[in-house]
Parts: sequence; structure tokens; C-alpha cells
Amino acid sequence: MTPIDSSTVASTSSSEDVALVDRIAHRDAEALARLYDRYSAIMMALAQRILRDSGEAEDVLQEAFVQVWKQAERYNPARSSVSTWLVLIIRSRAIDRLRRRQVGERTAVAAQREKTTVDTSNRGVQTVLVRERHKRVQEELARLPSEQRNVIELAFYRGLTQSEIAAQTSIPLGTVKTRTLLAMKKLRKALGPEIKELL
Amino acid sequence: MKHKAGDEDALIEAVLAALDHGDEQPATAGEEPPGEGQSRPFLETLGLLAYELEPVAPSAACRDRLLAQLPVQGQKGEVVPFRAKPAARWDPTGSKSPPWYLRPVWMHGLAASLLVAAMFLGAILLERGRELHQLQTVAVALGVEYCPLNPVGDNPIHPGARGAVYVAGDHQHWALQIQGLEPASPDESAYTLWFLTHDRPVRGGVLDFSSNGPVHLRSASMPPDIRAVQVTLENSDAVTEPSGPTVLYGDQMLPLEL
Repeated sequence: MTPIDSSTVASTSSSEDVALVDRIAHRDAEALARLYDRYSAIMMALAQRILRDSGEAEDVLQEAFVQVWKQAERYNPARSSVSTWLVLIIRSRAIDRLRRRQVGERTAVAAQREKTTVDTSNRGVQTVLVRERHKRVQEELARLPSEQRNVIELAFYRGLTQSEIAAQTSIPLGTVKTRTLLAMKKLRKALGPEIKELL
Repeated sequence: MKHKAGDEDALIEAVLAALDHGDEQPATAGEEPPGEGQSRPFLETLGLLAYELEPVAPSAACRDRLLAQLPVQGQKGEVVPFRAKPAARWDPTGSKSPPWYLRPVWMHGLAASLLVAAMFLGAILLERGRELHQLQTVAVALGVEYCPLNPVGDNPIHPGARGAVYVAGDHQHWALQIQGLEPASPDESAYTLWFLTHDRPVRGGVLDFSSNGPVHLRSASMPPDIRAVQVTLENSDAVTEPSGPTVLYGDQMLPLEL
């Protein structure tokens, strides 16, 4: 009996994800529900990290899945995994919302309202996969030099362009670019096994 | 196949630039065959960054609200008419039944919303019974629902008072109508409407007795995950949670019928 390892789980999961999106494109609401159950926690975490407000994060999460419902037929499995597609959708929506509001005046209110909960009821395979990725990504990000990690975080979580990062941090644009490129290459190499599962 | 460092830099820059423009699936660079794009591994690297975060489960209501927006599919993919579903009963304990406003099918939310508003106006003009009946006929066809409100307890404050909250198909527009309620002293007290949700009571508004006849209140927004509706008599119109005695209470959602 062949033991099931995380790579097998991941590749099965990736192909299942593609199948779910295909069903969603054919207006299968149950498929959307299943995709939601798989990825909503990670997407919610990202939206909440960007917006610092659980209420707005839920709004954006809904918008993201409505977009998935409407645009499922446009998903191209050759261009990205479903996981990355979903992450980038929620990131894009959250950053759009962030830009539309005054972050400063909401931060105090959001800090009072924000609450984090982790649903521990889901013990399925997907949760194990997510937890493993969480551990690996955390490890590799922690290994990055702080200056490289900082530019990646500003770009990913704040939606800042490299020019904006340079302006905000008073670091030369060339230095920002160099740090970004070095960080991306290191992460690409270090997370090779995880990326391979998504291809 | 190895790539020059400059090529790799260009791929990374292209992926980041696409991200800046909100492109969730940028086209792969070069002429690589599908699935083997050189830029794709960098795109997946970005996608993995989110996994740094501890997962956060959204509320159950978030999922329900999302799925409620989708058309219900029958076994052969056809859309099931909304009347095919039985009315849901509230469970005030919140243990098993879904929240009352969660209806998986509606086709004319905006029209129903406007209709509730029209019904509302029609109810004010009680002498126009025929118009009201016509409006109600359309409301029934569009799946407007209502929650009856009744006095509670052995010695209710206003035993003759009765009311209802009408909810449009979008579960956002609602209208309250109450009859038989004596006006409270405006300087000392205020009848206040509350939506009792899973987390906390949400104030729906203060009842206005400025015009004679039935009391009305309406709004274009409702909080999610409602378990019951309550009208209390408060000693101020600025309270943020119910503290006074309950005048009317309802926890059932019913389809509007003629």
C-alpha cells in the first residue's frame, strides 16, 4: 500500500481545484461552496491582514467569490494554480478597498472590532495541506534578510509599487528593485517543492 | 533549461508589474508551452506568500450570504422556483435552524424591495384597501416574507399591540408596521426596534409616533444572521442595546400570503 505523502495530497488537491472551477464555470453552486470551504480561511486571513478589519475582510471575501462565480470560465490552468488565482483575486480586491478608504481614521475602530478565529472543526486533508504550506512559507520568509522581507511585504500586503516603496522608505529605487529580485529568487528556490505541487 | 539572470529579472519584474495592474492571471512570458511558463513559478511564489498567515475562518453567515446569492440548481440544472422551499422557522437558541433571512432563491430582489416600500406607503393610506391588496398580490408573487410581532409574557405592557417586519427578497430592505401601541412619552421613553443576531442586538431604529395611525419604520439595510426581532421600551432614544421591557417579539419568518 503506497503511503500518501503531502506531495500526492497537493497534486490531487490541485487537480481537484481545477475540476471545481470547471464545474463553477458550468454554474455548479455546490462546487463554489466546496472551493469556498477549501480556501476561504486563507483568503480571509489575507484580506484581514491587508484591511485590518474583519467586517471589511468578509465583504471583500464575498466579492472575490462572486468574481470567481462570474469569471470561472476565464480561469486558465496553464497560467496559475487555482490557489494562486484565488489569492491574487482577494489581494487585488482588498488593496482596492484599502486605497478607497482613509486607513488612518479606521485603524482605531478596526483594532477594536478585529477578532481572529480559527475554525478547528475542519480536520480534512486540505487543512493538513494548508498547515504544511503555512509552516514552510513562514520558515522561508523568516530566513530572508529583514530588508528583503520588508520590501516583499510592502509590495504584497500594501500593494505598493517599487517606486512607492522607495519613496516611502527613502531607499533608492535601484536598491528596492535589487532587494525585491533577490527575495523573489530566494523564495522561488526555497519553495521549489511547494511550487512544483502547484504547477 | 537555464536562463540568464537578466532574463529571470525581467520575468520577475513582469510578474510584479502585472500584479500592480491587478492582473490575477498574467500571461506567461516567452514562448514556453502551456504549464511550463518561466514566469509562472514566480507567480506561484507570490501566491504562496498568503500561506504565511494563520488561517482565519470567516463567519458562517458570510458563507450563507454568498451562497444565497447564487441560483439554486435542480437536478438537471434548471433554476428552482422560490416557492419550492418551505418556510424556515427560527430557532431562537441558534442551535440548528438557519437564520430566518437565508433564502436560497429569489429572482427579483430589487423589485421586491421597491414593492415593500410601496406596501409600506400603501399601509399608511389605509382607505386605499384595493391598492394595498394589489400590492400585496405582487409582493406574494415576488416572495416577500414577514415576521409577525406579538406581545410577550403573562402581563404584556401593551396586550393589544401587533406588528410585523416585512423583508424584501434581497434581505436588506425591510419595513416595520405596528398597530395598537400607545405613544410613549417622548421626553422619557422611546420604543426601539432591535434585530437580535448571533453576536449582539443591533438597533433598527426608534419608532415615530408623529403621525396618527399605525407606526412605521423602514430601512435599506439589515444586519446579517438575525435570530429574532424585538421592540423594547427604553428610557432614552440613544441606547445602544436593549435594556427596557419587551413590548413585542417575533422569531418566525413566514411567506407572505393573501
